[in-house]
Amino acid sequence: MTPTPDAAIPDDGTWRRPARGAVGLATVLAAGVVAGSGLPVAIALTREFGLTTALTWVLPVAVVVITLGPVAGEVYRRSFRFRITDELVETRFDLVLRSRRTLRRERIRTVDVTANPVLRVLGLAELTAGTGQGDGDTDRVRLVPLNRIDADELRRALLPRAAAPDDPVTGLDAPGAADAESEEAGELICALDWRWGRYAPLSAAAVVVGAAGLVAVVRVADWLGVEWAMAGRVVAMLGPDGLLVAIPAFLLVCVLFGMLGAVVVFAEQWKGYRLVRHREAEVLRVTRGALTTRSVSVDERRLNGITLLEPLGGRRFGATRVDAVAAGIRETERDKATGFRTLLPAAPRPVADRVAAEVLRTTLAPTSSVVLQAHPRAARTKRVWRAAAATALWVAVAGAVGLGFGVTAGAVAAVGTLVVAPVGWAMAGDAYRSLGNGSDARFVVARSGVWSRRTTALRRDDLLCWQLSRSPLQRRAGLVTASMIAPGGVCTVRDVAPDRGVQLLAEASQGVLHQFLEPAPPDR
Amino acid sequence: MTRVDDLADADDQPPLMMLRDPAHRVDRRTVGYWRCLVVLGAAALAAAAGGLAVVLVTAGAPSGLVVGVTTAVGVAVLVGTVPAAVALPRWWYRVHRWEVTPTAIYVRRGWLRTVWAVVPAARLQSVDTVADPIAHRFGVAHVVVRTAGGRRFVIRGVGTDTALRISDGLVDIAWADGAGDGS
Repeated sequence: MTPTPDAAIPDDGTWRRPARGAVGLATVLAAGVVAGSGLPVAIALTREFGLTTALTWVLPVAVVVITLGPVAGEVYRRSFRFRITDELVETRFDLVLRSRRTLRRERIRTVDVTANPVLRVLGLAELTAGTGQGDGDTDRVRLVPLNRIDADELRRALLPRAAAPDDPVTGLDAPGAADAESEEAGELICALDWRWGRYAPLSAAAVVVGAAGLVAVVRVADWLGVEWAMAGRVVAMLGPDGLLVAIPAFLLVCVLFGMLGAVVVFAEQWKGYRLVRHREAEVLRVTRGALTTRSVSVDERRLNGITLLEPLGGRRFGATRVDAVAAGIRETERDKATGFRTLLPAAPRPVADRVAAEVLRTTLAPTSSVVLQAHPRAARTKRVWRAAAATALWVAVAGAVGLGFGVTAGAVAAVGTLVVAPVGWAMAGDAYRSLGNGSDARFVVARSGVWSRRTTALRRDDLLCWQLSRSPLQRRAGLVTASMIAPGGVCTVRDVAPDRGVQLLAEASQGVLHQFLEPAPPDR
Repeated sequence: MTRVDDLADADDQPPLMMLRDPAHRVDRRTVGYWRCLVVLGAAALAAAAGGLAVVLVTAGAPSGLVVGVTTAVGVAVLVGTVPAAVALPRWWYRVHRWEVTPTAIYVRRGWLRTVWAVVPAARLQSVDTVADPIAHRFGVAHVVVRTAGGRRFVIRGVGTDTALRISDGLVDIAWADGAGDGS
């Protein structure tokens, strides 16, 4: 597919349509639907009625769907229009229903360009621009498909004071080409180090991939008509002794598969990773991805701060991820693990600190330079009680199951309780040790979390609400929660002493809060 | 990194300061408005239960069971509504407070969890006065304030006149001294 620039000059205010590749794209998608759902149906029908009957049913439907694909693509292309003027980005979709969306150009905070494998093969890309003003979907426009060159051009045009227009147009998301561009237009903050891949097997992705693999095996077996009875026969054949070996072996295979898969996922997500600051544009840009390429641009002036995440698995080894806190970044639909906010994948702590400092333009990252205060013991007590409640719930459920299903289940439940109680205790202690809060002249910092320990640092100047809250439980325990809200995110200090909470808020508010303060009653 | 080594410094600081509560209560009429909402909510719940019962019976569910469950729900709603309509609005009336100064908006709100929120006037992007038909009948309105990032803050249940006065005042503050540049 030749990249004919449908929108060579992006912002002259004329209406444009999606790339002609939309037709090809719709065809491929239709074929994908046929392959994905038609094939299993065909297999199932073949089992029941024989191959001929199956084909006479499935083939015509498949042909219709595949023919409708390009038609739908062309209809979409004719129904969807967008234009970019000096002040606005407008999209219109006129087909039966009419809808239009208008964004103020100056309000656009983030632009990201992604291309999944299908789009890449067709030379296309998808562009999303967000303002972070509304909640949900209404604050962003999505233009798809665009020719890759146009998408790149639009990305540059849409963010403020974009790079000089006489930049030679490069093939955007091919990592090699990105090198040439970034070297001339920006300053490289960080690039991929493959050694970071060693954290992947310890991440949550390993569990997800392992589980997904298990599900896939079961589903394929189901398609191919393996009956559950057969599984029962295998169990019977192995006998109790065999099972004792087989089940751990099976679990081990699952774990290994999950770990291996997590490394593959890491490679797919982060191949060619570069974090670049554009010299003229005050824009931070992350490019990454092997099969699906992603390019996320954040208007640097809208960056309210950063979050460091230390996932449970890799924490012991210093694995730390850096996320941006900025308004307008789209939440990812599927991969929460490495979303569009992520500026750095799980990497050694010193790397994360350096990236955080450079992104925030400080000599030292506030997440390491600000000394964090521990929270009162009451916060620990609260967490221990919470763990105790969870354990009690487990004991109750397990006890009921034990009563219902006899001695074996009861024994399993008892053993389970012996595991649950210490784990709950350990997690409560860990949750307490995670808690910390602090502030300096420029930043407020809060840390919390068990599964993923999150340290959030927000610029004081960006805060637009200071908030104290107290639940009935906190009231009894003499604790409060202090939240400092910025356009892109919240810095929440959970379970802190009331005076410390007020102190944090008052410092962060730079004097505005003082009019609402009074000396504490002496009874404390 | 977590240390409690600032205890020494604490002695040098001025005496402990706490947040005081915002100056004003919500309008008295808001209690009636909330009461009305509670009753309407209960009525909607009862109507939904009744409608579901009719649908189930026509669809062929055992009518004895359906009637029994519906009656139970109806009785629960009836019994629950009266104390809820008496107690909840009073409770909310005690919790909700507000105050507007030249530099900030200060609100206390909440149900089980009490929240004290301060929004700096310099960061306001829009100020609206909102009154649904019921609130309008009670002469009550809400002031809805939006800041950058699409965050919303509401001063609930002030008199219509007060709401207008607040929003006029906020508009003057937010846009007079060259603030309201958004960001």
